[in-house]
Amino acid sequence: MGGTKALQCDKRRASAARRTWRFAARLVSSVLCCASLILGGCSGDHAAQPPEPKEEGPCTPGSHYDFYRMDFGLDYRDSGTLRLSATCDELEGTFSVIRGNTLLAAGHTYSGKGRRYRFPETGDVLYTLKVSAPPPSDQGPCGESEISLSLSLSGKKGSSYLVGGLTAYCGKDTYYGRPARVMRVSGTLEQER
Amino acid sequence: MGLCLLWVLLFAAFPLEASEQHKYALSLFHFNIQYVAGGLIGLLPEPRNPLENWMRLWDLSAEEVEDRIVRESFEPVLDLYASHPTWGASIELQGYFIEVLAERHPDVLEKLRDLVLAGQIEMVSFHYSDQLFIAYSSLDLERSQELNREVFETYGIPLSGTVFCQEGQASPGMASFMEAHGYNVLVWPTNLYKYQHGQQAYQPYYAFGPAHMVIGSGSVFYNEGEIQVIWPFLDDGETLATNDCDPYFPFCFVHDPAAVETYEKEIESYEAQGFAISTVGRYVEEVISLGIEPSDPGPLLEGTWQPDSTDGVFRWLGGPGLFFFRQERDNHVRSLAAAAHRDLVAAETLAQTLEREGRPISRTRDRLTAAWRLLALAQVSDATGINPFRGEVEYGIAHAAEALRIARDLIEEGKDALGYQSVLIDTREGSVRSCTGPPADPESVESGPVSIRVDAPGRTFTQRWQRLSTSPLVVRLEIAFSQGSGDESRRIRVTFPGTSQEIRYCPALQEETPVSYSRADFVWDHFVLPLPNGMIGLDEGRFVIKDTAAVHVGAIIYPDRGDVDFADHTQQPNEPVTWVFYIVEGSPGEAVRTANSLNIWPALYR
Repeated sequence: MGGTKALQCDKRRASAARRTWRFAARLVSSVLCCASLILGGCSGDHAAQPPEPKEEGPCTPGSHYDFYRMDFGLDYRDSGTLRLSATCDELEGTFSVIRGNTLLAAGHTYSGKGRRYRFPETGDVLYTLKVSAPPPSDQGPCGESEISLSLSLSGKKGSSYLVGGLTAYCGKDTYYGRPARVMRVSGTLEQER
Repeated sequence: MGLCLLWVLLFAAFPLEASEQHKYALSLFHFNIQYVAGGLIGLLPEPRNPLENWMRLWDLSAEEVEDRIVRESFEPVLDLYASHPTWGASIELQGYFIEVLAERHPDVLEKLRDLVLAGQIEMVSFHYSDQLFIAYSSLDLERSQELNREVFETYGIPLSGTVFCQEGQASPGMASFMEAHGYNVLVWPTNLYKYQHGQQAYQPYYAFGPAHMVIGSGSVFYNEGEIQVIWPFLDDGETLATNDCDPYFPFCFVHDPAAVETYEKEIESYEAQGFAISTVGRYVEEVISLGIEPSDPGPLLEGTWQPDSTDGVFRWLGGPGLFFFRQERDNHVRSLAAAAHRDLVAAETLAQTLEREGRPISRTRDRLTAAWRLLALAQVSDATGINPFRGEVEYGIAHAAEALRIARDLIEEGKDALGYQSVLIDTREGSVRSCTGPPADPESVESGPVSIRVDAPGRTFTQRWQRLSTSPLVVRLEIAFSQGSGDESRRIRVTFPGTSQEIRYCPALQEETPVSYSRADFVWDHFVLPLPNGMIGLDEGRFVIKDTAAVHVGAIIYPDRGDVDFADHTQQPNEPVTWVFYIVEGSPGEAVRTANSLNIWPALYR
């Protein structure tokens, strides 16, 4: 190839570093007064003593029940409580949230059934629950249509801290398709007895 | 003498065609509708008194952030180009962006379509969601591509053959994938190139397997100016019209006409200097038509566009951000998406079996498509970098968990339809067999073939080695870390000693074909590989494989030794964690088969 020489043109370079520092400068200047809250109050730290679901051998449904409770955060402005009863890996459960939104009624107890899915190759667990319910009002994304709520919570091996989603689909018993909303849920699962 | 003078005069009056100047000003706008995946609510604490009400500025839902990206930053760029019909530019965005336009901003979609159909805007799109695709299987990107193409076809927007990706991701393994999907030019990020090969005088274009590659935003001054390329813009498109402000800052993320005007004047000045205001694709077509041959870029490793500041891909695979590092959980996000891949492939296998037998499960195709879409969203890069807050972290996990739930539901229904209590689904073979459950746990052995080093301050750990086969030798290593305490226990590092002078692994999107590079071909002092199939060589005939559903963090390699480190600095202190690796002693082919049968085309007991 012929001789070459690079021109310099360094304006507006895509730069993660710049984004980082831009972020830093603005964050420090405008959010300084609550930086400690951001780092402390919103931290993911939590006390998670793991009452890991027991490894089970052959199981007869109904022969044994485990009961769990999880106080959870929902999209950082709401919270609620989930209760599960498990026989083998069949789940029944209820949950309610305090504030509610256009898809969830405040204080309403939602109940449904689900499964505890195990992943023998990793030891991880997925707790699921399905609930069909009317909308709290007709002003939400589903209008007057029934809402299908799918709770899916992931737990890594040995940890009782669960993270996942409460996914809302428009339509009765419709647990797939384009979600109306995926709400984020997290909390520590505790065995009640 | 007279003849010489005549020659000189002739040369001066009629310069040779070869020295005719071709000047290009290329702009590539990278837009990301998932810039703040899941929205800004939760970035700041909820105000507790009137003095803190200013924080409500950040109370923007995902839809509100998306709408602002469209109206404050995207539409002004379209308007600028619409007012200069002779200018061209490349705009990169994901299919999901187009869906947002169609649902809530049809007028803006119309503007975009007009500019693309007029040939002014080159539409660049490689993935449906702004996912960290170099960390996952090519099948995941294949499904993402299917969704993406469908979206662009639905809304009548033709895609170009140019590729640029979220975070500037680029992999040598993209070449054949691009060819198979009709792409022909990759924009390889300058800094990713420099990180590997040092400062270079960039060539007009390069060979990239069956495709071509340009280094953006590397300026070109080729053959004494015959070809000149400058890049007035290659950056997050969101920042041009907002005076360099991004969507994390609602108070300044507003359209600033003066900022657009500044850019407009800059481009006008280039135009006045004879630069063609061109798209990337048109530029490459023209230099090829001039008879210029592609250069050899040398060996390339995959990565992202700012490896110096992000420590390569580590920032997304174990590396902490600066501000919300206590909220990060990279390994949970990435390993859950890897697990979801496995069960989705298994669900597909089971569904195909049932279809062959004439017993399809209700709405299988729609359910799988929905799950793949959720997985593409779950793999969004911003769930683990650059500075993710809890909302983005949990966005990734929430979407992956729901994708996994759909897959497992399908598998359960498939088992019921077949009348099986337990199945072994072999996704590579495409077979489903009844079984009695997972085989007995292989016997533990006292030690493995390598002595690992573990650095996990504030935690205790146990190692367990299990021999799975002897020819080739395959052993499984499980390292169970206890809960820790304090920030130092966020850091876990496991080192596998190696002696190999070569880097032997399968690049992203090329998990069936291992490559071997000499470390001496690169200038970095360390490099972080994502390893979608988990495999990398340690010694001649020895490989380590990470089980990506248990530990999906970056593999760190060095120029002067064959050691491989796996590190996570975002492990939550109060949670235990288990990492799983495999050691294979055998040929590269045997290692690749083992890796892919674990991470890419697994056989699952369900």
